[in-house]
Amino acid sequence: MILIRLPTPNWILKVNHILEKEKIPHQIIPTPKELDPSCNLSILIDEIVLEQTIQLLETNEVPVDDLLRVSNEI
Amino acid sequence: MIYLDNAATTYPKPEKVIETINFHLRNLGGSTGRGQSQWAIEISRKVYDVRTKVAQLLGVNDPLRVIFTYNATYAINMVLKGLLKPGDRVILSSMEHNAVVRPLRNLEKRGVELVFIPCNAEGVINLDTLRNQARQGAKLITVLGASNVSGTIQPIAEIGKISYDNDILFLVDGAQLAGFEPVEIDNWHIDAFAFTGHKGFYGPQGTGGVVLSSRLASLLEPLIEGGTGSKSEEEYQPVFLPDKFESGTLNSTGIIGLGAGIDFLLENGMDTIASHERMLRDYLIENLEMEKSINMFGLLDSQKTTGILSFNVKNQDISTITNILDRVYGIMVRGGLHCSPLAHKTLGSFPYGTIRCSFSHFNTQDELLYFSQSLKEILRRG
Ligand SMILES: Cc1ncc(COP(=O)(O)O)c(C=O)c1O
Repeated sequence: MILIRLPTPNWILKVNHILEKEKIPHQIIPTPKELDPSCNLSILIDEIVLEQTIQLLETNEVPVDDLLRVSNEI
Repeated sequence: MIYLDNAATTYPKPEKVIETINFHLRNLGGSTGRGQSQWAIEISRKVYDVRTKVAQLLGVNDPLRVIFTYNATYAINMVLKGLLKPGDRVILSSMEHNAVVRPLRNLEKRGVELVFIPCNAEGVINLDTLRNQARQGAKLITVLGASNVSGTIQPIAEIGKISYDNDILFLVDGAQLAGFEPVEIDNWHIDAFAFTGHKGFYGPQGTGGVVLSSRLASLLEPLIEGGTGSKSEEEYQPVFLPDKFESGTLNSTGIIGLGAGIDFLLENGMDTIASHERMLRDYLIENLEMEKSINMFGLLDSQKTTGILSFNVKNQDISTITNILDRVYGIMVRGGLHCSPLAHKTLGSFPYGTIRCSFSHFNTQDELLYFSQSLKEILRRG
C-alpha cells in the first residue's frame, strides 16, 4: 500500500475528490502521529493505481513529494 | 407576511437548507480540518464539496482558492487590510457599499490614496475615466458586481480587462451578483471575488468568503492567524491555501447549509430564477409608473439589473411608509440608505435614501400586486 501525505487536510480532501471522480479505490485515514503530529489525514492507495494517481495529481497541481510505502496493517 | 428584502438576506431559506443544517447539527459532531474521527472526516469532506460547488459556480478550477469567511464584509476587509500599505493607490466606483468604503476610508487615514470613479445617475461606471485612471497606475481596482440599492450590474469583464492590461489587482464585491448571474473569475481577471452565502446562494447567515488568485494570495497578509489543523508543530502560519486565511474553527454547519442552498439554486436554474426576478421587477415598475409622486432610481431596463427596485415618494417620509407597510399590511421592504451613502449620492437619493424592494425565487406577482395596491392606498391617504 502507498500512503499519500500532504501538509494539510484540505489538500488530502482535494486528492480524495479527484480520486473519487476517477473511481480510483482509496481510503482517507488519520496520519500516524509519528509521521505528523498534527491532526492531519492521509490517503491510502493500492500500488497498482500509483502511477495513474501520480499523473492525476500532477495534472491537478497537487505537489506529490511525499509518498510512503507502508505495510497493509496501517 | 410578504417579504421583499431579499437583497439584505433571502427568505425563506429552501427546505433543503433547513433540513441539511438540522441533520448536520443532530448527527455529525466534530470540526472541519481538525480531528481524525469518522465524523470529522465526513464533515471535512462535506465542506470540501461546498468549496468545489462555489469554485465551479464562480469559474475557477481549484477549490482550494475558495476561502470561507463569515460574510462578504469580512472577506473584503481581509483583502483590503491584508494588501494595502501607505502610499498605495486604490481605484473604486462611486456605487460602493460601506463594506468597501469604510475600511478604505480608514486606510486612507494611514496614507492609502483613494480615487473615486464616477458612475452615472443610473449607477453605471464610467469606463473611460476608469481607463484613464488605471493608466496612471494603482495597486488595486475595486468595484461591486451589482448595486444593493438600484440593482445596476457593472461591466465586470471589461473592468477586469482594464485591470489586467494595466497590471493592477482587481477586487470584486460580489455580494449582490453571486448567485444571480454567471461569474467567470479567471476569465475576467479577478484577483479577489468576495461573496456572501445568505443572499443569492440561499444559504444561512454567517457564511461567505473570497476566491483568490494565486498572485494575490501570495501577496496578502492574513488578518487572523491561529490554528488551522495543519502543521500544528509549527508556530508560524502556513503559507498554503486555504489554511493561510482560515484560522479558527470554521462555521461548518453554515457552510454545509450553503452547499444545500447552491444545490437549490442550480436545481431551479440560476437563469430561471434571474428571469423570474426580472419579470417581477418589470411588473412592479408597470404597477408603479403611473403614480406621479413615485420617483424610481437606477436603470429601468431590468435586463441590466438584479431583482432590486428602489424608489422614493415626493414629500413623504420613507420610514413612515415602510412602517405602515410592515405593521398594517404585513409587507417587509427596506427603507433608508442600505449601508450605501455613496451609492445614494450617485443616484440622487441622498440623504433620505429610498424604499427598496428586492425579490427572490419565492416571490410572486400576486404579492407585488398586493404591495402596489397597499402602497397606493397609503399614498392616497397621505
Ligand atoms: C453590495 C454589498 N456589499 C457587501 C455587503 C455585505 O454583505 P454581508 O453583510 O454578508 O457581509 C452587502 C450586503 O448587504 C452588499 O449588498
